[in-house]
Amino acid sequence: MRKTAKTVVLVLLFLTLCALLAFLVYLHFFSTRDKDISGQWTTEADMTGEAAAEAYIWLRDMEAVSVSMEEVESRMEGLTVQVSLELEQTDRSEGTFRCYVVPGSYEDCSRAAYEAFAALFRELTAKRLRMAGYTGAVDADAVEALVTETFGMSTVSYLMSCGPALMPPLEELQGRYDGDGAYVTDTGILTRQFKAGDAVATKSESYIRKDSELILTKDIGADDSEGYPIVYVLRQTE
Amino acid sequence: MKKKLQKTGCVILCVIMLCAAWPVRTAAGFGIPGYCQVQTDGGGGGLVKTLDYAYADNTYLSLRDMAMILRDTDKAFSLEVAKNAVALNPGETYVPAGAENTPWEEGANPDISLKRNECKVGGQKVSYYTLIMQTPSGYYDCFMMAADLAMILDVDITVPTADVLQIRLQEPFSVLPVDLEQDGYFYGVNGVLVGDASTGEIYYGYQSDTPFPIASTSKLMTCLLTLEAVSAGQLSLDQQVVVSEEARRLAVSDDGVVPLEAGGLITVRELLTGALLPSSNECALCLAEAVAGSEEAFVQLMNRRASELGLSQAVFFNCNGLPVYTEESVPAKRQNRMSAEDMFRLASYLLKVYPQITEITSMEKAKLPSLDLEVQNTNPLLFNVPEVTGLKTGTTNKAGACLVTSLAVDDGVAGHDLVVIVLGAEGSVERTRVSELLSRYALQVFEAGTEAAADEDFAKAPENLPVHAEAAVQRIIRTARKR
Repeated sequence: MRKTAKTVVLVLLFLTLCALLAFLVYLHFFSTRDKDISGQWTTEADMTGEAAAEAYIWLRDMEAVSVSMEEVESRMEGLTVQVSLELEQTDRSEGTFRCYVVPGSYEDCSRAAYEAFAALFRELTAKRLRMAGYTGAVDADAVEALVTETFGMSTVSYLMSCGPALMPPLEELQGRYDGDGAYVTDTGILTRQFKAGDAVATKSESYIRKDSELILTKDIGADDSEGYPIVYVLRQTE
Repeated sequence: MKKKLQKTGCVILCVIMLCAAWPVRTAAGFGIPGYCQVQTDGGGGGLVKTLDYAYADNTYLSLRDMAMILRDTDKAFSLEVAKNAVALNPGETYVPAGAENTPWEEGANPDISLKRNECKVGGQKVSYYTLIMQTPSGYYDCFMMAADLAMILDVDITVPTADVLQIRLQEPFSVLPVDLEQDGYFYGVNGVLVGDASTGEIYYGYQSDTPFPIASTSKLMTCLLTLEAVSAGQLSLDQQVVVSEEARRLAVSDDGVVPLEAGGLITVRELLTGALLPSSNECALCLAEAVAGSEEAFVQLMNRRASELGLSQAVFFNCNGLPVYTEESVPAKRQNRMSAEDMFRLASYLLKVYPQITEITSMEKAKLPSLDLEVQNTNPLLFNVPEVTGLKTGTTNKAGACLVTSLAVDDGVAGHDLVVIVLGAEGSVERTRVSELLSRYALQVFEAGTEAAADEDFAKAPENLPVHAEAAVQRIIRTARKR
């Protein structure tokens, strides 16, 4: 009786160990839960720095009134363009991808940038009007009316057509982000092969998958890590 | 014996009186009579009487002789000359007085002085130095320099050979400073500069980066600091300022212009007008004291501001441009200095940021109600060139005669301020002439640029909108000022 019980326990133990081993083998070789990065991911590409620098350089030309780079940045904070990264896993650690700048978000960002820029320009213009002895109203609406009378268009339209380009052109951003092709993942490195006609451009980036975030931490082939980390948020699972 | 003594005394007295009167007459000036042959490209011409004033070839032409030669041309003008006044009406037919284009009459006395006689062109007051003399026949004739007449009639006058003047009736007046420089014309001045203050474009410069004394044109910096204090809320234009004892002392000195009383009240606006129009040194001092508390502190401000504006050659010792002596056992005499380039930067900045300054500097005269006084503008170009809006004259023995001129022009798209700087002319006659020549050159270049832009650039930029922030804000300010 005692021997039988011992045998049963050993068998049970053996079966448990086998099950655990099988589970570990499954986790190691077959489970893609953590490595599976498929889905529709989006990130917010920050345009504040670029837009603020352009605006600051342009406004600096004005005599007698000044604005600091920090102030321009604070007024333009939160200017972002959405970039979408769609990954579709076709095998255990590989798949296809498509990355693109969401066009609507580019227009929205550009509009917001010029509105902030126009507000700054109106404020500095109001100061100059006062210095020039102008005794009429110099609130935002009054200055806007003066700008419209002078240039035949709103401040935003004037700055968009004659001021500096606050945002890189959509094509440039698309060149920076857009593309499709195949990807492979291997020990925390995501390698994307961008199709460009017959040629293929490869980009390898370190990544960390953390719940619903995919964080690209650095470009393996680049000397510096400018522009990184890029945090993608999972919008939709494939 | 007593009678003899009385007679001798009378004779001595008469001689003394004559001797006393004689230097006045010699100091009045002297014109050497001569002739020149004037030809027009229409085939006309004739003999013109001339007066070489004080020096050979410093030639002034008889306006009556010139009027007769141009009588049947597009450049005809009528002439009315009185003892101290001349009126020239372009487009009207000249009525001869009788001795035009003939040799000097017997007994003609050209012993007359060059002065700013009352002068009108087309009914408008102008400011030119002329010689007016009465001929033995009884009528008056006026002598004017060929360049001045050419500018008035807008006609091209050249000197192909000695004693011959060629008038090209169809050619407008034009001047090339480079040619003038080659002829040594600017030996008579320290430095000049012509440019567009709105764009910063320099049209011409002569010794423009060398610092020279600037006399009362220093007051432009005084006015800038005052306007900056006003825009900072430190002062207001209608604020009354108490006249100090120092200002009163200056007012009653030889350099005094406006009769300020110590303890009296006067507004900042009046002080600005006083400093800019009749170039009142005491008004400038009052402004300095109102802005900085003392002239010493104000001079520090002037030098600091000059440095901030990038006026690399500017040095200020006082607020008004008068000579300043040091308190040494052997006192040094110092004067505010600037290069023409620095002055251009200062004037450009003033015109861009405080364009209201030209509302004062373009006035021929203005009232100072606190003093119940009317002051006159000392800028002669205000009358001669319609586009002139200011800015400031300045004269000391060391600085010579200086003039900073601003001209308001429009290319059909936007307004521009052109600036002409003349530092260290020999006297006010030369200062006025050089400044007017260069002002007309500035207008010439600007018009040529506008025409070229109309041909080329406008096609590229159909909207003609400014692409730089400063240009944009200047346009908006102009719109606001028009309101």
